[in-house]
Amino acid sequence: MTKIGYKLVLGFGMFIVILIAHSVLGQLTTDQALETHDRLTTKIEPAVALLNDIRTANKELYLLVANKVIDHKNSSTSNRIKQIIEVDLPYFISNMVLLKKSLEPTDPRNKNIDTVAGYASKSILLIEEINSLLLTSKDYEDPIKIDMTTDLLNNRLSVFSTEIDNGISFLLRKYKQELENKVAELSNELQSNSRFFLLTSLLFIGFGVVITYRNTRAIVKPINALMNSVRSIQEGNYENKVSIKGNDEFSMLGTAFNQMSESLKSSFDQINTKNKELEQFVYIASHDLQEPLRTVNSFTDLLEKDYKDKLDETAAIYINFISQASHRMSLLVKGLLDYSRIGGNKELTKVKCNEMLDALKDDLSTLISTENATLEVGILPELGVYKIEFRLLFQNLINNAIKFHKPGIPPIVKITAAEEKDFWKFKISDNGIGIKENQKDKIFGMFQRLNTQKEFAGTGIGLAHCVKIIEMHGGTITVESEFGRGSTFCITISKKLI
Amino acid sequence: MLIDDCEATNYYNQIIINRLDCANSIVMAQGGEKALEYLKNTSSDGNSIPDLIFLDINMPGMNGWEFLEEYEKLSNIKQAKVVLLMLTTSLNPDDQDKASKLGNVKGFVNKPLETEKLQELLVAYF
Repeated sequence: MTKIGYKLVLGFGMFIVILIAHSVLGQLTTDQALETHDRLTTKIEPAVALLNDIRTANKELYLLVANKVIDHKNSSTSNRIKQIIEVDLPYFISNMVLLKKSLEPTDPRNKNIDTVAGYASKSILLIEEINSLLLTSKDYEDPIKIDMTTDLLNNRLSVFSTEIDNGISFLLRKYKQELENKVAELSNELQSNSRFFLLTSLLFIGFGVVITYRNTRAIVKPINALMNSVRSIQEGNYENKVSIKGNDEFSMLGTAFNQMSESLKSSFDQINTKNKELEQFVYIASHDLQEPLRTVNSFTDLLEKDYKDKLDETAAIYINFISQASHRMSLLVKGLLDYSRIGGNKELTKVKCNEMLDALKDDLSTLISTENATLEVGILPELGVYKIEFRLLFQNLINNAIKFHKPGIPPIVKITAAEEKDFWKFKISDNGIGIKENQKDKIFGMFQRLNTQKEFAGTGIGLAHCVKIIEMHGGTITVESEFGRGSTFCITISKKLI
Repeated sequence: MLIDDCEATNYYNQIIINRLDCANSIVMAQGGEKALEYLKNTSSDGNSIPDLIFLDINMPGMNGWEFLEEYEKLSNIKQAKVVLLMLTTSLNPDDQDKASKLGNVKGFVNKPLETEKLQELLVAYF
């Protein structure tokens, strides 16, 4: 298994161990309590009952014998005495033998039980002797027998009876003590167990919390590191490497991620190189294409001027077409050349848009006065942009806004800006011919045109320029338009360029 | 009928057609919209219905495909006998597909139109 797997298993394992430990401890405590209870019910309680029975029997026996000897109540007491010495006492003596078996051999109670049993046996023998002396009522009349039995009763049986009673009292005390000891032991056991529970719980919980915290950190930290790297790559910084120490899944993920960003970087570099090559190619191609075009143009001019008189009307039309086509070709090639140049200047500068538009107005003054156009410029911000391209963007959009006006209606162009959270939103609106709904998507493509050269001359490259410039500025360009009513071009420029 | 946004192309094609002297009259339309307008008004303006249309595909505004969509909606009497597509480059497979679905397109001609090519077309379609 891998490291994070171990860590997680350890974390969960800790809680499982706590649960198991507590179950086991609980079971042990219950067993202990049951054992104590068992000892109380099967050993101590019967023993105490037995001892009490013996004591009662002993006292009763003494009183009965005393009755028999002193009060001469032979008939009423003899049967009961007989029952006690023949049935009860032997039964008790045999039970005391069993009671001894439940005790340890070293237990001092053994001796006392022996004593009690011994005196009980002696009592039986003694009473048998008394019984044999006092068999009939005649015997009561014999003063010798009376003296003997009275002597046996007062000097012997009373001693035996007292010894038995004392022995039992001692044994009862001992059993009571044992009972108290057991109860105290159980309560101590329970107390120490509950303390152990509390301590282990606290310990394990503390340990579990530490492991959980460490595990969470071990998982969250590398994820954050990866997250940061992903963000960094998102911003185009492919150099950023994730550094995750160790040999768990995350560091493997980190390594894989680094490899990925490495290969992304190399792909990106390749694309960049190819792109540059392509731009270079377009630049050279369009530049070199200009040369033969210029030759065609020049010689068509010469042909037109020098041979005007020698050529007929048809020839003049042909020459006109050649001249128009080569002129248009030259514009297209120039457009391509410009397109490939966009983005060449990679320096961002702060530009005050209002100042820039004032300068632009001067540049477009001929167009503005020819078309009798009005330019209404609102309050515009100061922005960090690619200066030359940004200017070209506005030049193209204003140029279009003026160019595509409705015949006979002087164009009015309005330029406004509004600040949004991450970008500035510019609007360039006109009162021109507008764009049909189904043709809105077409206009931003390279060489795309909606009108014939006769209606509106152009190469169809201006808005493609604008799109490329907008992309450089991390923005978007959209158009809202109503055919025959005018168009509004919305552009956004990111605030975060500088 | 010649439909092309480039005036020079229409003019050139007209010269080639005139050389063969195979047309009673030639109508030139600069773009799909103009051509459609002409065809719609064939009865009211007394415009004659063309026998053959040469249609450019790549035109500003309404291009060749869009023209064909509108053209399909015209009543039969206002449609020409033959419509041929004029190509600057060979068709890509998607466009080939598109063209084969349009019943009105009879064939393709590569630019520029030449007298020999025109002669072959006349033999093939008339």
